[in-house]
Amino acid sequence: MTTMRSPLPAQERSNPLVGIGRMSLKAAVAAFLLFVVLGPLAGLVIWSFTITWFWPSVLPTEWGLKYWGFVGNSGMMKALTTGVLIAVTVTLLCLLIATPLSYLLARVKIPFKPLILLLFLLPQAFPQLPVFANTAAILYRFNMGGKVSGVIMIHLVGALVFAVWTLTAVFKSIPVSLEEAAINLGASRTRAFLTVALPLALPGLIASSVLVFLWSLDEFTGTLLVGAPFVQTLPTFMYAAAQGYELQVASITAILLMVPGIVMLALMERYLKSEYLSKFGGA
Amino acid sequence: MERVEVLALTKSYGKAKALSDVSLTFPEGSLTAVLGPSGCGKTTLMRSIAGFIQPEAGEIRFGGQNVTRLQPQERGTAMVFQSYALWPHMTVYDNIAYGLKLKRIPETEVRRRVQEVLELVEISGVTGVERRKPPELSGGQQQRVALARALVVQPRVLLLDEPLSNLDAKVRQRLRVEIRRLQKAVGTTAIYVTHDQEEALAIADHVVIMNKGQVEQAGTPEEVYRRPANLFVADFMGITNVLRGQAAESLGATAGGTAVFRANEARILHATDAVPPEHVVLAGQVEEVTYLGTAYRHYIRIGAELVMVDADRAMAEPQVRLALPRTAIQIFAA
Repeated sequence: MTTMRSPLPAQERSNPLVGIGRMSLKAAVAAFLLFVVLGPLAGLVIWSFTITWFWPSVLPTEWGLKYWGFVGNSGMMKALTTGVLIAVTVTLLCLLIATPLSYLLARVKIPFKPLILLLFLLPQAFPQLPVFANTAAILYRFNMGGKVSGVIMIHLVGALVFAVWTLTAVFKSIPVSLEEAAINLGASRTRAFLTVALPLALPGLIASSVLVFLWSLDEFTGTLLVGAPFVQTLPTFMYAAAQGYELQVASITAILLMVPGIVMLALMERYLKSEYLSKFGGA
Repeated sequence: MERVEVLALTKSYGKAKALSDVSLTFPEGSLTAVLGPSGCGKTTLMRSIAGFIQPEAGEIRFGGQNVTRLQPQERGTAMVFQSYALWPHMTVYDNIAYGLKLKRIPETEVRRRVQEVLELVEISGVTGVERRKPPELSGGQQQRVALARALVVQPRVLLLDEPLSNLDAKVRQRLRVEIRRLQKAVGTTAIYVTHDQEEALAIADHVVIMNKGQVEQAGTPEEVYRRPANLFVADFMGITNVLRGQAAESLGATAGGTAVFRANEARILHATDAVPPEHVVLAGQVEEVTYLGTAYRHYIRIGAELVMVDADRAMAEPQVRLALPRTAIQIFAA
């Protein structure tokens, strides 16, 4: 009777073989995860320091910084600055349009509200290529093809979707009574928005801006369709480089593209409290 | 210190009438509790007075001035919200000073008045309270800050929207005495919306009972408690015993009418007891007895109705007689 009653985990703990089995299982899972996450990254890093690497050798036969030297003098630097310029502009324009729009969508009873929100989702609901191809055709008609302004426009198509949907949720999560309290004490609607709703939405605004910025920096299809070959950002530059089988240049570009994301996430982690982040996600 | 008048106010949401032809007077400097079940229109009434809801018809006057078409910002009311609605990103000081800064009152004056109101709501003892943010305070403290924010602007009308319903019973009882004291101290006309009849009776000079967008009764706490105007008010005031049909008619009700009385006002007579003067007697059958601590509650069947009567000790015999003072019986026509 007593042995039957003793709980199962205790029995397992008493058996050293089970303990070892568990530990090795954990180690295997950890190793697998590390491989999945770091494997491709490691490949990128190795390729970026490669000068020659021919099949069937496991590691490059000649190492060096030769290709990192291209960062400074090739079109890569120009592509990076163009990409950042576009991403910053897209983020600012997006905030400027999406903030008031999502505030209205969250607060005011507008007829056909679901329809408006759906309209903003449409570009994401269809395959990107036809949507962007059509938009590109229109942009060319307005003489924006092959220009930075055109790339900004096509980025906005996608960016506004993210921004409007997330910011509407952010503003909805702020109780109306907070603004009513301000209005009740004599504040105008604008002032109530600026002093109450906006500061409370700030973490959401920042998180949404980071998303938009990174998305724009990474955007490929639209940039290629509208911008190429005159406007090149890092993703299209990488595409061009990889087509020439210069895997080294492509790897370096990929590493450069990851840097802003890692920096931004680190900053968000550092300066935005986790509760804000969870609110942003859960709102 | 202004009288608030509401004249024939009407507001509907779709087909539902939230307010239908409501007319009321809130005397200057008084505290009036607007009482009713949820959906009775009490919140719509309060939000109309604050200016957040535009009524379809009727008029609202503050001290004779018609404010019906004024924006909420121009009305000079101050509202205390059920959820407190304190701004979590501002300090307590900035929360309270907000209304004063809007009025472009000089900084030193703002500082003095915030300090004064913090003492008035008895929260200045909490160390560093001005620099704290509302989420760091307890529910009761937050409500005191919300009161301070409303009182500091010296409003024409103070509006309290179920201010205590998010607090636990003990804090609620303390704070309602506080609210009463504060309202008397500043002398502002106050309107207090609640669904809690005990709270309404304890706090108010006048009680207005609403149901389905209409006023059922308005009067002093004693009036609505002792002389409910109809069955709805009686029920809302905690009168649980309702007699209909023959039993009601034997107490003087007309056909189809009802007779009501409170559980603690009837007396159960022993077999040998004589009927006291000015009392009427009802015969009934004890079905159940429960112990409440303060008394034994008897569930007694009279005709088709089950009534509750409290007594000091449990009755053993099933057949009993109830003695009711004539003054304790309310008769309502059908």
